[in-house]
Amino acid sequence: MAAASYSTYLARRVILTVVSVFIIISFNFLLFRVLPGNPITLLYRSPRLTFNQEKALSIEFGLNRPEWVQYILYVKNALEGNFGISYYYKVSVTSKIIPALENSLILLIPATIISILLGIYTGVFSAWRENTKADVAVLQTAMAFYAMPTFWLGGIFILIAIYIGGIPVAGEYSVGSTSIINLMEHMALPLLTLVLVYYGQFTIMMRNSLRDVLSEDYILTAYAKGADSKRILYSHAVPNAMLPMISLIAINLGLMVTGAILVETVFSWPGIGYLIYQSIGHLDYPMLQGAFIIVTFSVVLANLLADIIYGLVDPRIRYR
Amino acid sequence: MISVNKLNVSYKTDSGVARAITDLDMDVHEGETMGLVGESGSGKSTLGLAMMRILPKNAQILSGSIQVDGTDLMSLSTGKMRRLRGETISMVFQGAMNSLNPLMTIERQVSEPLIIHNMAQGEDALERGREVLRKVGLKSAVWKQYPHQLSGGMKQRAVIAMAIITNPKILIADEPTTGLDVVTQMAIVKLLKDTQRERNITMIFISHDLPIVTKIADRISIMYGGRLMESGTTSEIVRSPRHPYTTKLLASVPDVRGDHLISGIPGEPVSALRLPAGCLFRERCENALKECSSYNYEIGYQEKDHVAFCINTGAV
Repeated sequence: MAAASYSTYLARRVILTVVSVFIIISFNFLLFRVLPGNPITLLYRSPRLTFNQEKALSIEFGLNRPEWVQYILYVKNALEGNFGISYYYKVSVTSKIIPALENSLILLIPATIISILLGIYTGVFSAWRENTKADVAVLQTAMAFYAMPTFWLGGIFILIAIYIGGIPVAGEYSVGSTSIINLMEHMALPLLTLVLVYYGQFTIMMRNSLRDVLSEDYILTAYAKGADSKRILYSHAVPNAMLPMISLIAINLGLMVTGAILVETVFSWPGIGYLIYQSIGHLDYPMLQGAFIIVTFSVVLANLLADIIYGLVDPRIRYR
Repeated sequence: MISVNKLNVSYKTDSGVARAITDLDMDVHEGETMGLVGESGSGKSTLGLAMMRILPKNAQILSGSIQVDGTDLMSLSTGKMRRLRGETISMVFQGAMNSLNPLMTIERQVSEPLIIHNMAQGEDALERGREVLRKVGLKSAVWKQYPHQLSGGMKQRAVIAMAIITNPKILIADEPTTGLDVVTQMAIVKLLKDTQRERNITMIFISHDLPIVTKIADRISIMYGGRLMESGTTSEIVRSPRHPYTTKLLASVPDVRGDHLISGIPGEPVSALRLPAGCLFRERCENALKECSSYNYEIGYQEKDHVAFCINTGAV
């Protein structure tokens, strides 16, 4: 019974995800058609572009066809992973996005993991010492970093790094280098910035969630059994307090990719965020469409992942 | 067996200090069931939590002692008290509420006290857990289920199984029948009574429901505003109550056959934040005298174990 209802639960989630993906693809098509600016004149930055030349380009990029034909072609290509040719780079969008995405993930995966772990740890620390000076100090620090604008904190770190010297403040590798040490040196500041800006929300969420759980009846039951604080915290309270964290983590997994726009721009990190930033300047529609689809996909997939995990860890979910 | 002496407990709240228990004396003999009855706010649950030393952080035991077999629980170290909890003294909470961890299977929760007190580990502990679950009437289909899949009565049975698995000497049952339907209430009372007899457990049965308590308790203590009003054997309390409050409680019990009108108790229970001087029940009492406002809780009536704290016991 349990297995059957879990698979129907999963099936429902997957169908919802597919529907969301389709809506996202369609919305992405629409969004860039209503933006101002003419991509052709921008493509060839020449005021002397003749009418015939413009027409030829329209035909080359399919912009002369009716919008609905463009839409169907677009959806067909998108499903095949083909997001067209970049107006600016004149190469396929996918060939630019894939390496950028890889670069982003190299930075974002460790940043996410570290900020979640740091957030959970400080949140548990704080909740267990509720209303003590230690709790207030941890909470205030978390809130202060959470409130700092990413670009501002990144800027401060760049200033400090330049003042100290020896710490790279831009790019992924030094020119000509491909060593891991060199990569990690370059990663240090953007990673630190991301972790500090992101961990605070996990701290606050974990603290409040755990504080609520600690006042539940079943925690009193655990005390009455003779459980020590370690068992109360890690066998009973933290697993229950983690449930609301799963959604927050999932939402953030998706949002981190967008959040990376700021950090990647400040530190010139050649990731998808930096690519988006540059493509906006170039009015590179196909590139932006491709990048936004990747970003929104990551939000949708993260939510699907959260639903799958919820179903596994919370026995109550499966029976809804 | 259990001896509570001049116990005083208060809570610090945002609106001031609340006196939860004032000068409470109580003796519970080995193998008997003491029924503790009172309205909400009478301090009966506080007494249960104080005996386990699991009062909330804002509570403070001002003075007095709780002795079990001659050992003062208040003087024990935190670690020693923790080892008594769930092993020598167990507690049954209101199972219809969230007394069970929603993420743990029933059998794991029930066998956990064995693991905590190093009495069994792993599969051995689980096997003993299943044995107790069977004993309280829960079939194997339930063992691997989660609390939300169980009915209120089943959860209450699981909570009882969890409390008795370590063979405790003392069982404190705090509102174990509240929130259950009447038929289930009776089944739970019977289960507790049978368990108590079989294992010779000393039990404290806390409830606001006097009729239920009379079905299980050997003796009954009536509390009001954190003080003991009357205490005696169940038949003494039911047949010849001496305190006007007890009389009123008995009269507020609905009679199914319906030949008497239910008479409630007029007025509001006293606030623990502002306890009046003199007898706490005075303002709701029909027999109140002038002297009641300066009453200082001398024993007003005593015959053997039957005591009542009222100066006008003759009027009842």
